[in-house]
Amino acid sequence: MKITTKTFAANAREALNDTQLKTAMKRATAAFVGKRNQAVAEREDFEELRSYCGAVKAHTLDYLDHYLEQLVTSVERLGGQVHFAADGVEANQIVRELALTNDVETVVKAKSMLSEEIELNEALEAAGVTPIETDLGEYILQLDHDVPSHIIGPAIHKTKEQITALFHEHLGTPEDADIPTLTAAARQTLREGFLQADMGITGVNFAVAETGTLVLVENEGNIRLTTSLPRIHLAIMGLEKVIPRLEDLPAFLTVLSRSATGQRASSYVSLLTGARRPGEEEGPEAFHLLIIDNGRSAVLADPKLRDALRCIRCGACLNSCPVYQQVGGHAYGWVYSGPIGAVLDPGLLGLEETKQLPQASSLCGACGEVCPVKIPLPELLIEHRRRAVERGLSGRPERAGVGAFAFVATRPRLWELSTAMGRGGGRALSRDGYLQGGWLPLLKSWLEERDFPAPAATSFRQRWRELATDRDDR
Amino acid sequence: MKRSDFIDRVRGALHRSVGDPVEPAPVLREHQDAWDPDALAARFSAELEAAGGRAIAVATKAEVSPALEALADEFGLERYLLGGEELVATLNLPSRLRPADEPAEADIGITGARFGLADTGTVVLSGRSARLAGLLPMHHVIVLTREQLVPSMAEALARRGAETPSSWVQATGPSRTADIELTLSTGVHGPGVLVVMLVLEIGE
Amino acid sequence: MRVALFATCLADQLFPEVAVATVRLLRHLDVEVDFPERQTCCGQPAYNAGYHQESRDIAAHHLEVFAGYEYVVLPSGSCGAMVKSHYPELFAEAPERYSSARDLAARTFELSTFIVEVLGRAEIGADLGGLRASYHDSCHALRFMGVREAPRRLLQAAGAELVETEGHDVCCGFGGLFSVKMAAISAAMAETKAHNIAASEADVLTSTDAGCLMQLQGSMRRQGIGTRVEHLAELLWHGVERAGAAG
Repeated sequence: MKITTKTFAANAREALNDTQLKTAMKRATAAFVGKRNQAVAEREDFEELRSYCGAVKAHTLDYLDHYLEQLVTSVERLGGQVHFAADGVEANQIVRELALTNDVETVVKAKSMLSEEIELNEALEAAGVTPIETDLGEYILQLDHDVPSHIIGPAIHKTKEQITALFHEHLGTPEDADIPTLTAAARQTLREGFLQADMGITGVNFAVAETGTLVLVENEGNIRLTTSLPRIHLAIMGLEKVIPRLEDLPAFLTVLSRSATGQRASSYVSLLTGARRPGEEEGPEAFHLLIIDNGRSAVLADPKLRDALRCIRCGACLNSCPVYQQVGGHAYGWVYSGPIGAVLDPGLLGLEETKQLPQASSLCGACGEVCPVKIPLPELLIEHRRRAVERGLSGRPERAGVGAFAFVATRPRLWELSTAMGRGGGRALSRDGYLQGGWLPLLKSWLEERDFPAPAATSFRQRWRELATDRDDR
Repeated sequence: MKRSDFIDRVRGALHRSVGDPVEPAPVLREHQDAWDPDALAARFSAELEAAGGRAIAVATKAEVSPALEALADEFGLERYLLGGEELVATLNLPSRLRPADEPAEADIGITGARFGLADTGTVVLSGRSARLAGLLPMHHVIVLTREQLVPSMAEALARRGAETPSSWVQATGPSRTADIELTLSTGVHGPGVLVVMLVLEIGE
Repeated sequence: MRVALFATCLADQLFPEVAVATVRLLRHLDVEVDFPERQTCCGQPAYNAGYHQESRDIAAHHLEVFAGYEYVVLPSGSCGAMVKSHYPELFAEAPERYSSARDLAARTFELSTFIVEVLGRAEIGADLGGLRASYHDSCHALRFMGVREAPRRLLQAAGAELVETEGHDVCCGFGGLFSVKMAAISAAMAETKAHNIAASEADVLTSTDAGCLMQLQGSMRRQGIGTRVEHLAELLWHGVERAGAAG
């Protein structure tokens, strides 16, 4: 997908002016947050599970070379073929070759953010292979040539009216179709796709090193169909998706489903261990696993940012983020949005390309509080800001301003003098207790949509000199 | 990229060398509550209903057939697919149901399951039951015996045996989506109706 | 008991009444208050913007100013969070400063927490009877200082009716420099909150943090929402005055 991370602030302004988007986002995030909070409150041990899952992920990442080796050996032992790609270009090339050598004409796809990241659909189309997105949300986006705005609900930025019109145009459903009618139409159309497809492509939620089991979590059943009907199953995964043992899964599934959709269990969890075995009549004949780096090993090599690779893509940090709630996912300009996007995207795309994203936070801490694997998101946002400053990406005026502030703030007499001057200036520009027209660049942007109070005539420290001897207050 | 190059790249990122030791992975403190076997059935049924499924308790295997007939009447079902389990193969099916000629034409899948997970109302499907019979038709009926109920996924995994099956699907309630305005809609791809017939005692 | 007041630069320069009320409340509770006059700012704006050397310099000054006091009390959760969670981190590589930072962190208290947890008082002789108060949880107070119950207990003990406004624990959008760097988003966040506050029909909006209140009041005023805005310290002090006048 086209990267527009550089223009985050402008994207966000545009999003804020889109009333339809605002309605959709407010509804969606409020529903997600409400369900998540309720589901989490039910589990007394949720905090313990978060700590455990975070620790298991951190451990796996620390020894990822070992666990990847183990995973690959396990999958190959089961007769699966494992492929490795350094980046998106190589990954697409591998998929294209797999499709062409196996005479694949149609591919059914389950939702995968990684496939959006590497632009797999475009690569398949260029090779003459037809990809069909089968997750309802992704299918809606494919019909509308749109891109996901949320990890869990890719089309939550769209209203029902928009989708009804889209289905009317493409599937011939009535102009006033209700949601069950739309769903039924999608089922019918996509079922044909499943039955004729030669290859199914899915992502991976967890890859179990010990057994070579791939774990896929969903509610719709499209992943089950994608991994059951076509003769070839190709799973693509970022190299960070490994967990050590099957025994780790119950805890991960608990925190994932409750954090993502507020369900006690997702409708379907598929544990797939190799392709069809001798004596079995169903399931894919061939199974391929493609493990992709695409910038992740650089994040892994960074001891601070490594924690971002714990992410299990539940979307809870997006839903809880008051900035995301206002602007939605597209404003962030790439596949991963919200707090995790603001932390991960600079790691994957480089800070130069994405330096606005870590600024897109009031550092309220809501994201860190909900993350089911305890990624220290607020700290990592600050870490990116620190690096931006260190690399001189923050701009000369800001640097000079903060430098001057620090100079004054460490010199009490100078502080008193300059704040007194500042207050005097501010009061001269004020009327009725509020500033009128800011000439400072910073205040100008504040005053566009908010009032700013006039500074006090007398500072507290001046008042203190009276208060210090004043004993009448008691 | 070659496997060895890829792994080397990861190893390099971690500043590790071949043969460097690996610390043991963290272990979750066990606190499996003691489950009263009678409570399992009640919990399973309650959780399943909460997830949008239907639980029907039958006293014996012989009572499955009339219960199936009632379902067939209720939903107007005609053609079935069967799961591969022995329990299902030995069922006495109501006469109004006949096998589907093509899997895609079936309107009901009748299967067994490996386990029922009480704490989430989940059935664990594998083989044919996971891939076709319990997936393609709009209605899915699972016949489960009380001995197959376990407290949780952890317990089911512990009992999975020496070989991990090729497919192990945990199904909790019907297929659902909330992709349009977060409004719940069932049966988008998999079964829209999921019924578990819990046989309380095996026997005649 | 004797405490040092950290007025915070915001209260010092823009809202001195907040710091005055803090002093009066503490004195009312038989606490002696000292105001170390060399205090300036905690350095949070620089820290959050990524200027860690600059904020380290300011933090070092702050450590020096507040050395030797048994307690440091401040009418803010945000500046408190800076001292408590970021100061030790800033001096991770300077053992001596690190231990004084840890020490100061342990001695630093947000006002309402100090009253409830250190002084052990919830009933402070304030009368806010008949007042519908909406309490805004400042993010830093709530998530980094664990301030949740203390302000509520003080308000309720004073007889105020606590209105839990929708989104009371959602950020107001201030976030220091965020409010001007991402002004449009910041303002939109405030607007959402402002509408919720108006809908709650509270008489007064209060919080532990003057920054949040400045942001919310600035937005509410622009939108013609007339709910009164008062920092918790002022609100409680007015309650004490009212109780005194009645008694």
